[in-house]
Amino acid sequence: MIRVAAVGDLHMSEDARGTLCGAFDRLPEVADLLLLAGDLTRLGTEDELRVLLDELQGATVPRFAVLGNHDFESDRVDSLVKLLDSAGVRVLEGDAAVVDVGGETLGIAGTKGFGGGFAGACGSDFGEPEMKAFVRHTRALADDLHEALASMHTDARVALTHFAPVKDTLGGERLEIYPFLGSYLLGEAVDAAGADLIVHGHAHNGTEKGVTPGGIPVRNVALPVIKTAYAVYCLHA
Amino acid sequence: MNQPRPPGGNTPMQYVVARVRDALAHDDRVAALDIQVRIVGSDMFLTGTVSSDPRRAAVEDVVRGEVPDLTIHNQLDVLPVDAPTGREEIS
Repeated sequence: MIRVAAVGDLHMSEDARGTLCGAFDRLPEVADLLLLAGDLTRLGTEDELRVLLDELQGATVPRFAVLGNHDFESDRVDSLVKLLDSAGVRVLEGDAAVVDVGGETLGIAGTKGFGGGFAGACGSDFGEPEMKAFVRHTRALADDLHEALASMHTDARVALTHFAPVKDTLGGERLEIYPFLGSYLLGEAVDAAGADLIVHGHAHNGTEKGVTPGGIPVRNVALPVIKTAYAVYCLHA
Repeated sequence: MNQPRPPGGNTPMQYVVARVRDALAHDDRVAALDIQVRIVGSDMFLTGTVSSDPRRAAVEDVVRGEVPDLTIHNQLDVLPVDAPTGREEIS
């Protein structure tokens, strides 16, 4: 059994210092690894990220993250990735990592993902260059996610995104903003490559549980949705 | 038909809501995209979640600066951040 802790949308900054460390100190007792599903910070600054890393000090398990849209706000992504890496948090963007948990292997593939909407009500790469760029960005990230997942031959596999791969987990959000919350291209990519679980964030007013059209469980772990410092999912390889 | 307008104001309410939401996104103290803003008469209701008490207060400050003539009802919840008490088996 592999115990996966996951949370997204911590939106950390100095005003929230000290709020999470108690829960993260206890994490190694209940989980084998931690996945951070993006929006680690409020404005994407190094100072905000340092607050989060301080909070995470007790979470002495393998840690993986994707970035979210808030983490891009200050155009400091390269610096944030280096800071995370130096603190032992591996950032995934179109690539994969493997963790050994008691002799079982778990593969994790991650991407921030992007928007575009869901099958039957989504954007197309047609018309203005800005619209083409929008949809093609999502498609490129979804393709990378597919490739990363397909490259792994582990006992279990998890896909980690910030944007939503299905609309199941958006219940509670306004329909008008679905195209800004995720894209079916992400779900399609995971269905094609196969996985045991997809974890995402971003949809603060959504719901926790969903499933892809191909039958893969999806969990929205945005902090406002799970209402705990993290959720724990047990995978049976 | 004319759009509803807040008492004493000339701007249609939906533009006021949009302006407030934009201010909440771009004020560095808040930077939130998910706070729900609703106007009923001369009252503005703020709902959703924030991660700390200071951020809850900052939201209210930003909104008061945008719509000083409205009565603000800060109904934001501060998120709990306790460790989970259970876990889910994925099959």
